[in-house]
Amino acid sequence: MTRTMTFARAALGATFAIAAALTIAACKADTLLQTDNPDVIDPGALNTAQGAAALYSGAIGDFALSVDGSGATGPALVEAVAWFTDEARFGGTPPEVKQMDLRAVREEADAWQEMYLDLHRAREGAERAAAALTQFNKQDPRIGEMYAVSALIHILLGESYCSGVPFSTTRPALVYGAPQTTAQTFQLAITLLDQAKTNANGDATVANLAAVLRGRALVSVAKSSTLAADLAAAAAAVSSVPTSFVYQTYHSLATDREKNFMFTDIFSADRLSVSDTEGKNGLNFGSANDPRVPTQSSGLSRFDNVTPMVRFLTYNSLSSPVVHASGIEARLIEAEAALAANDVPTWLAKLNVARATVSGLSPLTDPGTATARVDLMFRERAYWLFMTGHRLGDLRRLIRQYGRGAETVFPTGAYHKDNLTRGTDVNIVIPISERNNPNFHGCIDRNA
Amino acid sequence: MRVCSFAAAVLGSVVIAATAGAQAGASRQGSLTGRVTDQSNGQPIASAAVVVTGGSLGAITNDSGVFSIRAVPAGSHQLRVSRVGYGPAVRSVVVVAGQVTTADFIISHVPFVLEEVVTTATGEQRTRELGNTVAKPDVAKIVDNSPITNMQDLLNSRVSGVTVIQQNGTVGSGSRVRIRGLSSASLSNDPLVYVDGIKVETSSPRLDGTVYVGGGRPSFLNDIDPDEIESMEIVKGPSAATLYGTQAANGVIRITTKRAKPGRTQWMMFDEEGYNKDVTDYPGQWYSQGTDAATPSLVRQCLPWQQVAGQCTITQLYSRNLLLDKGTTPLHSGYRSERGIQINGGSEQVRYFISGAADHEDGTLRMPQMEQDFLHLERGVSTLPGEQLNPNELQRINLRSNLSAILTNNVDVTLSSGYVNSNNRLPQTGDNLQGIIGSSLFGTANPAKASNPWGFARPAEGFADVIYRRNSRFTNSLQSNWRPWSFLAARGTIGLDYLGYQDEANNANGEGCTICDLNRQGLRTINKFVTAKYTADFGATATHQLTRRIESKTSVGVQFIKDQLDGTLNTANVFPPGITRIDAGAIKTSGEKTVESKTLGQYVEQQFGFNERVYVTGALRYDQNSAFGKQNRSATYPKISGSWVAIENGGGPRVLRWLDELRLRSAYGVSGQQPGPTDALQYLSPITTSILGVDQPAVTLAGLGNDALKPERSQEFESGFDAGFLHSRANFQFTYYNKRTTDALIQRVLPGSLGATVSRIENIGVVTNKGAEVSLNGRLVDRGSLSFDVNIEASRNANKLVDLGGLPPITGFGYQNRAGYPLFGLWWPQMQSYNDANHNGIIEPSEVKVSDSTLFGGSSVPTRTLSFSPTLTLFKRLTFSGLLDRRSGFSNLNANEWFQCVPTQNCRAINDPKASLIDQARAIAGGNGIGAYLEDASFWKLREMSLSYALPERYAARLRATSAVVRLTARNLGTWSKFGSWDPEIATQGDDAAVYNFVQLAPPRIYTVRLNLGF
Repeated sequence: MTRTMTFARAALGATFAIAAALTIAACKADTLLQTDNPDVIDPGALNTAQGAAALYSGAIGDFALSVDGSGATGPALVEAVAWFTDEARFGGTPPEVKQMDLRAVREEADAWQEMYLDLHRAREGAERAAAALTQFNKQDPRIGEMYAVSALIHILLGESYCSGVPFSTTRPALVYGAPQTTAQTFQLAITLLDQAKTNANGDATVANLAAVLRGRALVSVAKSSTLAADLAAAAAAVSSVPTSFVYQTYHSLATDREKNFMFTDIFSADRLSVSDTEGKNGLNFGSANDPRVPTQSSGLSRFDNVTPMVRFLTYNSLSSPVVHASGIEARLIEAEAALAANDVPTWLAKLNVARATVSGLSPLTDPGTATARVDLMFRERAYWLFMTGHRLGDLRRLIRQYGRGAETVFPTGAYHKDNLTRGTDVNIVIPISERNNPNFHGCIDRNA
Repeated sequence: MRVCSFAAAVLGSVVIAATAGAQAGASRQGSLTGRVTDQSNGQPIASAAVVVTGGSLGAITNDSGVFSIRAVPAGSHQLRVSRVGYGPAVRSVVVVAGQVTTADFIISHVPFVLEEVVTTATGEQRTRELGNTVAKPDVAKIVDNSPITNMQDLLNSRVSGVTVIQQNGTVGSGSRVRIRGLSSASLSNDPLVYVDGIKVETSSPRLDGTVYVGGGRPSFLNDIDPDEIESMEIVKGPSAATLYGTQAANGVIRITTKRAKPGRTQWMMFDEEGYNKDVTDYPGQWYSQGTDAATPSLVRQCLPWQQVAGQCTITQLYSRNLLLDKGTTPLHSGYRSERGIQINGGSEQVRYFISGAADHEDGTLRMPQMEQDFLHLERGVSTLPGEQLNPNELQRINLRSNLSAILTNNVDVTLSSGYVNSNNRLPQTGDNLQGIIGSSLFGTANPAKASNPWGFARPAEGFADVIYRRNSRFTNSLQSNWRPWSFLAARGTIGLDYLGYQDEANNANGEGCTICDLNRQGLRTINKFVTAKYTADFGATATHQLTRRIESKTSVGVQFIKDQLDGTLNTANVFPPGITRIDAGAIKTSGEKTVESKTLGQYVEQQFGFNERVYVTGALRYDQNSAFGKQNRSATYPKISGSWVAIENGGGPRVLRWLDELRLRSAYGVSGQQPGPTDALQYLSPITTSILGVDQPAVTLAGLGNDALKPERSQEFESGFDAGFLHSRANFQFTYYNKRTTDALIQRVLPGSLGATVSRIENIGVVTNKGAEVSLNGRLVDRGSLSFDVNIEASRNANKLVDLGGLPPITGFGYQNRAGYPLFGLWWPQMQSYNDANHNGIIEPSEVKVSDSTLFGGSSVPTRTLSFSPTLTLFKRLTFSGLLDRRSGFSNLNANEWFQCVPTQNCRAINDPKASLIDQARAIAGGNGIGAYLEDASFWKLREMSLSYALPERYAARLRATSAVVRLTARNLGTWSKFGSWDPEIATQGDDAAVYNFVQLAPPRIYTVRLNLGF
């Protein structure tokens, strides 16, 4: 009993001692309220060369996540483009994801808000890293690479989204961008590629990357009225790029963020199935047995039990890399320029140079008509650049530059499940989150 | 600074004055003692509160009904006695210095008492002094008479304005508790919970990443054992919760665990046994088989509208029910038991309450026989692991020790210690590729797939992914009261709620899900978290009789709260066969998480009482918080309230003579809700990136920061009255409230083009909750051997997001936060019309019309509640009671039927030509308009029935007990609703943003029998 009372008295004393201490401490509340935040990095802690390198690596990681998807965020632009076009069918069920396959994405669709943000985050991250790297070594070729990555994101946004994408920034303060037309977006990319070239600092990879992307931007911005000249400029831009050049994003099993999510959707979740003549106009990717699009059928999707599952075997691992620029693309740009100039032999030669790099592909011959040549040109592009985020830009170019009707190039008509009919979109709507930008009031133009 | 100086001065003066005055005062003091007895039988009444009015002195009667109050100043005093179930009594006494004055009380039993003593932020107060309502359900009675298995059962439908929204029927699954609607669009809407004076963890953190189960996440609220509770008070809104400061905007639940009572040692033991059973009539699977029109040899699914369109010809309609058919059903009976002991006793000086209980419950799921047979073949074994056969189990131990000691005439302390250990095995059951309900519901009746008719992963795979949440928890508080003078009472509480929990996933190589990335190659996750909530709360109240009629009560206090969470997250994949130790995995990932926030609050409250009839109170709380932005380092919360006891003891005007008591009350107050710990900061997060195939350290922008961040402010006005009539056989309480949340912390969606984050917390919104609450208690029959009581609780709440700062709506999956509509309202494209234009009895795609845009589909939480609890007592021994619950004014998305009819196409409506036109139309429209499945979710639910019998003492004596009570109970006896799927109450993920009912296990019917023995 005595011991209990002693303890209780001591406890009481301690209680009121703490009360007094707290009351006194209240007068120095800032000290009392200090907390540890070991999970976060203060921006000021990155003002070193190592900090700039970390920003560079972060930008590369953000770029890979924004185009290839990740285990942390799900599908991204390459998958979205595949579903939107004739590259892939959706074997899953979430209705908002399915809207992409239906060419009918609603601007409020929650599933597609983050993809748009991730692209811009990678763009901002790349430009932030370029500025940080410049602070410590102006000769660092990674500066040029960062500008090129930002340019590539501009190109992807221009090719895939409707006209009117703004480019805002938080560096150093928050500034809301004004909507840019599709053509203006490509011009912004070209300006960035000038900086990329300037800052390549003798690095061949960065120089080739800047060249291929410049060619791609020039192809995208080409006008139908001056197509031959515009494409000639694009061809000139890529002429120095060796056919063997490849620029790709890498993935890893180390973290969810680094995983190639296309593997998950192809091999695990059965949501990304290679299409075969999808919606009347689609190419026969699934049945062509083309070595550039290796596939394997595996019955119905285990997710929706309806969609025939045809797996794209190139992304056969969570760490499979994804090619975003290549010498093959340079040859395709040169070929298309030759075709626009009506130089059929050079056109075929360029295509066959590329085909010669893959065993099992025989040389092409002239199909004989202008329409068939364009079809073949875009078919070659489709197979070489399969599931790399190029196809939507190409289908839009067929409409914009070659005068094709939207419903003759995009999958159209009845959808393969759920009693649905496809929509008529030819580009992806800018998500509703952008309406929080006071300068933005919706897409400027929904045409191709 | 000024406030803290004031508080320091007051506390300092308390210490100095007490020290200096203790001796001087002793010579002018006397003592009071007496005995409180029951008027009807003269028996002593234990646990009655005896208080010297106008001061801080008081005591509790022991089991002989005796009380003793020391150090009472000489002179005249009013002594007041109150006890649950008895009418209050007051009498005058004169205390003579150095002598013991005796004052006995005889009090009368009354069915219902309007006036109670409740614990507020400034100490114990009588409800007559409060301008706001504080609900105080009779926990002991509820626990004695009802099938209460956890805290959510205890809270559910007991108090108007308090809504418990359950997730599913998984054993261990938690619920959301919402008081007076939703206030916050982005922060938690959970109320604060205090146990024995300290803040405790009651959240329901998600099971994340590889520990995903798809819904039914446990709540730490259920760590609190209802058997250990002595009293529970629910402070409903800011008008009452002002002095709890930042974080209290959603209301406060104050729980006091059982206090020791002086007297001989009393033992109570109980044993509860029972079982649960899922009695839901789950829908089956349909398959209309036919031949393809273009290729007649092709046998395929042929839907009626496709036959009309000439695409195919139906040849056979098949149906089955994987959830109910013998051989495939996973639904079985689960066993439940709880055993416990409570010991209570001690002297006036030192008292103890010790308790322990062990709880075990199996869920209703078992691996289907078909899947057991499949695994026997696949694995080449004859037995399967028990945790895979029975994926849902809860084992919990609760221990408690409460020690109280009176140190001196004017000092007492109570040390409360609680320990909980819980192991909860959770099934893959919800919105999840491996979920058993989804696998079954979205399976097929196609006879060609009879060997594997399941949708997504088959149960044999899902049941192999064994998930646990395990937690150990210590909750300790030290409460002390010090009454240096009769007019001054100081109190202090320090305590720590320390909770360690661990989420686990275990999946052996070669087992588990084939469509879940690397799971099939083995998976082991151990995510360990520690949360610690530190509370230090000190206050003092000075009471002074200003004049003969006016009493003054001044309170000051300081409170410090620190919340901390530390976590380490570890996952490994790809194991060799036979082991799932985390270090054996070929691929390992790890992470760390730290969250810390601190609040320092100080308050002052002044109350004036006039003639013991009118009370006016004003108060101010000043808070500083580590999460506030640099520009707003503090917040001030004011409060004012008034209470008028207009009629007491039937003394009203002639026209109101039927009224025994009438109290009018009004209160206005402000409270807050703090932002997240890092919301104000601009920061980057560490990541790793593969550069040319090599993982490199990297950073990415993760928080844009907001220097201007301040707490969300909820101001509330409430007004109402309490009336007692029919000679205290009935009482009625009415409250109107109007709560307006300004500077609402909204996750403002940022334009994607900023390339920053999805959103940033900003103070931009205005949310209102307006409503009324009614509580009626009545003893309709009271004839000695027969009594019949009725309790009715009803409420209505209108929630609206009034302003979103002119921003576009914030959208989520199926919900929007849009100005002019309720928070988390349901929004989907909806079916506008259908018409069987060609009168062929089949709805075709061209015959339905769907809206082009999303349309509002109703509130996602009930806006009207009504509960009805009758209790019939015969011969004072046999008690029947029940609880009938009504919730209405809300919608829910019947995503079960939508998913069956649209993506899976296995519902009756899409396969059977004889299905009703409306069902066919919804199935067709659902492709573009999920809102075709938005349904009125209003329901009636018979939640509880119970029968208890107190055995005559002579029978109890045969068990060597002094008392024995046998109780039979049943829970979840029936649901009546127009909602098309099972249980409209279910919301899938257990948070406010999951506004759909999707593949969750239905709450089971539970039967229990319990024996309570007292010694």
